[in-house]
Amino acid sequence: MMRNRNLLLATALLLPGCYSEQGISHKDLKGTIRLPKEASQVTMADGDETWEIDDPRAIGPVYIGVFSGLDANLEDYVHPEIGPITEAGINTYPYGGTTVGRFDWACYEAIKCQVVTGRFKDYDDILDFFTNELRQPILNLQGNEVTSGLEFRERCYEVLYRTGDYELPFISGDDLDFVDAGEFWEADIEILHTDYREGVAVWGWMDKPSFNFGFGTCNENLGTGTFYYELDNDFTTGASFQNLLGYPAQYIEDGDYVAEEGAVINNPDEEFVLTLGFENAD
Amino acid sequence: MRTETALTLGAFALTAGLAGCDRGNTEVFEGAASHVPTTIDIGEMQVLTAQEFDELRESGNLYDWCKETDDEGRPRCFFGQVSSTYGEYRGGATFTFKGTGDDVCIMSDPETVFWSSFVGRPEFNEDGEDPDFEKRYRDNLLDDGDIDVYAGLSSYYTGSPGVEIGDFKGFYTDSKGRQVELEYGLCLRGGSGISDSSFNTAQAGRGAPEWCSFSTAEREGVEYTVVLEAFSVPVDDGALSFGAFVLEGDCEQVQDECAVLGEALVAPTEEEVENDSYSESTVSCSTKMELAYCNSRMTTFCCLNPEMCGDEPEDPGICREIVQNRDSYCGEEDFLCCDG
Repeated sequence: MMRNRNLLLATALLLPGCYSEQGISHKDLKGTIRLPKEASQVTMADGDETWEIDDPRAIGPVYIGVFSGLDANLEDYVHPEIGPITEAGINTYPYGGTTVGRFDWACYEAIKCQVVTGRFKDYDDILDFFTNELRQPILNLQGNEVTSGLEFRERCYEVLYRTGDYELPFISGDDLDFVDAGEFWEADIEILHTDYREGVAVWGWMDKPSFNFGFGTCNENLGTGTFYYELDNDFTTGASFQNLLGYPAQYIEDGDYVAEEGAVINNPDEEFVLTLGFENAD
Repeated sequence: MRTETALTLGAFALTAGLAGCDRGNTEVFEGAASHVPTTIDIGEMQVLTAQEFDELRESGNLYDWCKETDDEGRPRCFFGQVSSTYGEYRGGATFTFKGTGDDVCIMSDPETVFWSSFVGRPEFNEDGEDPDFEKRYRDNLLDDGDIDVYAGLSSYYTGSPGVEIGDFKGFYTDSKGRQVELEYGLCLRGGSGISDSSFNTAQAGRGAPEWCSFSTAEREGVEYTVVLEAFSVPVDDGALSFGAFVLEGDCEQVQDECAVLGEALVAPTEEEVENDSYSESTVSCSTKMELAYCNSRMTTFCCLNPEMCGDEPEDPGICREIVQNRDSYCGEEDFLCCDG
């Protein structure tokens, strides 16, 4: 009994020693992103032919950052504050950030830099979007149109060495990023482990696709090199540019939707709402 | 009693263990050349033209050619030595040059050459490919130094020339009071095995030349500082020899070990330093070794001059044919034989 009491006493003395204030100012910020309904509308063109699509699957990746502050005088849109101009360029030095959707290679070279995570339920959903909305059917290596989700899946499992859909980020099931909230498309976001100071501003933009469903924030020469047996079909899979949040003005283009004012965070435990309501027009 | 003994032994072990930690490992080195400075400032150097670079490569007396100065007293290039600081502070060399208004290339080469021994299948290259590619003879690890190159506008340089090496870092305080470290260094670096057109921040490793290029556009006549930080000093003599120069244009034409030859200098004696009587001379046969390296003939060179390389290769048989035909090889290329 005495021995147990000593053990308890020693444990009680030791436990406070385990706690130390490390002065880390990182916080997880939670909130909602709002996009105007017009953000999912794209005018497509192929030669002289043009057509409109209005589909949430056309929503591009949304880049969200946490910044020291915003400045309305730097660009045509509200832009994060910048640091000194150096040889490396003008950097915003973000505190943290995240995305709502990102580019992911969906197994066929022809659609690299065109598939964003959180937009498609399954393989058939992708085929439907490319065939019926974009009018760009996905072709296999033999040049034949891929018409079956089963073939699509088989190709993905084979070329990416996967065994389940849960391993493929561009297949979201019912867990899509954006939901219809009447006037807006809305998505919940969480910015993990961001450096935090009172008064920081959350700001961001959506990369809107061009007339041929190309994205200005995706670099076809980045990403993973394919080391598949198709030696005559060697290519990189595409990925977003680096430093998007550090140099946003380099990537924001005509038609992109930008936050017209940031969400200022004075209490990191309170959820914020950020509306990307300004359509940039160069 | 048993507890007392255990406590005594424990205290003894702890004391002995702690005492064991109190050493700098300096005793395992040959010894730094204490009479060789740890930090030197070379002053201002010329920016060589392409024609002058050709003269450098063909010059008979390299060291004298480099020491020739222009009207403003600036040498063409520099060969010298620094010793180890043992880590108390950062050592190396600094020099300045004036911007040309165009691209410049800064080249530095520490002694001597380094290569990895071949660890793959011995039959890998049996199909008539160059056997030297494999470099199956091991490198002599004791004669290699490592210099890291940094450069930027002198106005951003934080070091004290000739006293202590600094850097080109600055700080920016944002509107929320957060300090952000900024890099004002300009080097787009080459020389590392992983450097390429999109990845130019890696330093080259031991014994390897390292070059850096950047634009001085709109800054003609503005002073730049170059830092050659002594990252690693050879343990065979405690002195790190190196050569360095600045060249007009990009670094396209200097990207190999042959750009700076003869940088492995004999370390000065204490007397020579005291009497200021030291004159540069190259470590025996080291220039031939560099030539063999940059011409991809290291296996042949090491077989013919084993004293210049490291341990014996795992398969001594690779030298048999080469040694048997020594005269033929020596006649083929001067640099293959030290005594040739």
